[in-house]
Amino acid sequence: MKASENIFDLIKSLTGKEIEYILKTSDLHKKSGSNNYMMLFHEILSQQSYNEKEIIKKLGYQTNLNNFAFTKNYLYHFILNRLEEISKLPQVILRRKINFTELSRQQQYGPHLVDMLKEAEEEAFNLQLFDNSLSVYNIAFSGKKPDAGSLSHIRKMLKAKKSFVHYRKLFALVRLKHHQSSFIRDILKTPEFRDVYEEELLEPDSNYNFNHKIFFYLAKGIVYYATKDYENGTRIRNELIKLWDKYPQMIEVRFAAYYNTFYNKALVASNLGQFEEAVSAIHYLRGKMEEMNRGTLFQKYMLYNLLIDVYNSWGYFERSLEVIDEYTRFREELSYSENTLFSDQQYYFYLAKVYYGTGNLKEASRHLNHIINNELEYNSDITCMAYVLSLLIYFESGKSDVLEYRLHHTQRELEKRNCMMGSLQLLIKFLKNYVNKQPDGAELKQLFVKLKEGIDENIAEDAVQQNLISYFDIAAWVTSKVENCSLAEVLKRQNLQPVLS
Amino acid sequence: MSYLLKTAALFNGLSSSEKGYLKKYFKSRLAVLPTKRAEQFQELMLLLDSRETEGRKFNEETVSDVFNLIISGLEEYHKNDATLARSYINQVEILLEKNLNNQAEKLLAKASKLARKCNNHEMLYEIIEWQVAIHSLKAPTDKNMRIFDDYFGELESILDKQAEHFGVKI
Repeated sequence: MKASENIFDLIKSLTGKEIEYILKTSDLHKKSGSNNYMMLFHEILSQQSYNEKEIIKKLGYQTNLNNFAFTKNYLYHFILNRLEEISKLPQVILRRKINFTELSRQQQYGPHLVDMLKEAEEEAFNLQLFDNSLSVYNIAFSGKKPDAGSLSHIRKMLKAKKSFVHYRKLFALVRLKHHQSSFIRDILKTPEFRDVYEEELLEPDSNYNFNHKIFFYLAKGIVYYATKDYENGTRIRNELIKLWDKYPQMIEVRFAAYYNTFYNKALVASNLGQFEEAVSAIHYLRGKMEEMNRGTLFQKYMLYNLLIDVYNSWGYFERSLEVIDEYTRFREELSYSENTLFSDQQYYFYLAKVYYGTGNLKEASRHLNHIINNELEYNSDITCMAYVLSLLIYFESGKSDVLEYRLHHTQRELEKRNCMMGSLQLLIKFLKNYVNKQPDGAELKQLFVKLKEGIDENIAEDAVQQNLISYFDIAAWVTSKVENCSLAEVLKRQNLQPVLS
Repeated sequence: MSYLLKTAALFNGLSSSEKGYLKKYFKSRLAVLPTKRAEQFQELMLLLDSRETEGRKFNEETVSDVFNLIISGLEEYHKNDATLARSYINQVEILLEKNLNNQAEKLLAKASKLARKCNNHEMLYEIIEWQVAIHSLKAPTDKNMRIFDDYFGELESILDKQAEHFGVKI
């Protein structure tokens, strides 16, 4: 059986400050020298990848594997206990208070109990953590019937919890299934989605129902995004932001929802071509994550993923280039389960675009080949555009022989994926012409002008083609050839807004 | 009641074995503090131990920190199923912040066992909420959707039990 690497992953996730605290508080049970579990800690800390056999041998556990398993387990919980002690998460602090009030009641610790109960209840209510509030009530009344005022408060909390279950479920379903058009079609017929629930937006008592409102708005935002109803999506998002502004203490409690609010804001702005607003929302969220020291690695990775996509679409490839090291670092640190086929495909495609946009055709080609040769296919549109961009790179590098061979292959691959739409047909025809006739400069320019007219006409009224070329703007690429300038210049001109630093 | 009086009352009411444990606990925790702060903590602890706090003035923040340290120590000393389950929920949150979702899931299963054993509806509700959050990250297969339904079904049933327990209608 493979040894569990949980302890290795946990130790490797520790920050410098956390390690320092663990080391300094580790000698509670020390008799002489170092504790067995701390010796194990140091061994694991020094390893690059987990090698349990080597540790067992080094620390002399070969004849006593049970003892090793015990030490490993002890160390794991020791670390978690220490992390809990220094955690600043408001829920963690609150639960520890509740633990102590419970303990005080059991051990009859005396006069401070009333104050602590009051403090814990106020804090739980302020953070709308109603289960913690109810725990405090249980401790406070311990078997006695609560007074009328408390009962009314308890009823309101339970009602809020009931609503929360409903909207939390709705959000979970929408989040998981918004890629399925049949699901979106059905959910639009439900009462919650038939209209924009004016009463819901105006409902006053957010002191109790902040949590259900947040999940309701997030669910609606996702559905509006899926149906490209950006107007209502923006409306819902503004309501969400108003709620966060009114209840800033809830940001810590529901950080993932807060992250989603601003991530979605950036995503929608980017889809609408409002790149400055998208970058601004990304920077704001990144700043907030740093300030609060919150956000998982995956959330940070996804934010960079979006930032690079926005810069690429805006023509600011050099800005993307500045952040790719950070982007790559986050990706490398992601766990196996988060390194999905989709994120792999996106990663290589985005990097290919960055390198292409900054003139490094060799690197661009290398990243595209990752997708093409390794069959990294989650989204067939991205795969198709990877084939297309690869052709353009051969064209620009003057490798006509390879281009000729790749043209046939690409055509087959695009047809196989039902992706051979009008604009791409024109592009393939143009490249075939180029390979066969090898036109001179003036002729080539004429061909480009003709190609541009054809593509513009094709995509003008065709949402499917517009969506396809949103992955790589071939219309802008042809324009750059007609005007003899870079793709970046064309994209920047199309979206005349100054880039934020 | 001032923090100092409260702290003194708490400390003086403790058994000798609790005090003994706390002294050891303090020793290890003082190691992480800057020297001056550690000295202030130690001075206050000595005064508490010799019951000489009356009439003494201490920085309110120091007293509050010492009070919190005492309760942390006592919490560790008196761990029981309920406090352990709550502590596991805390650790789940910490693991999730570190992106260690599989480990969080395992710890939730442990917490869930304890919460069921103590028949603590509030904790069970919190645990299932976290299970839902982790489960949301998985692919929407039929099996996973059924698990979802089970989770939400249990949340609803817990709510009914809570309403019954407090004697309110919702």
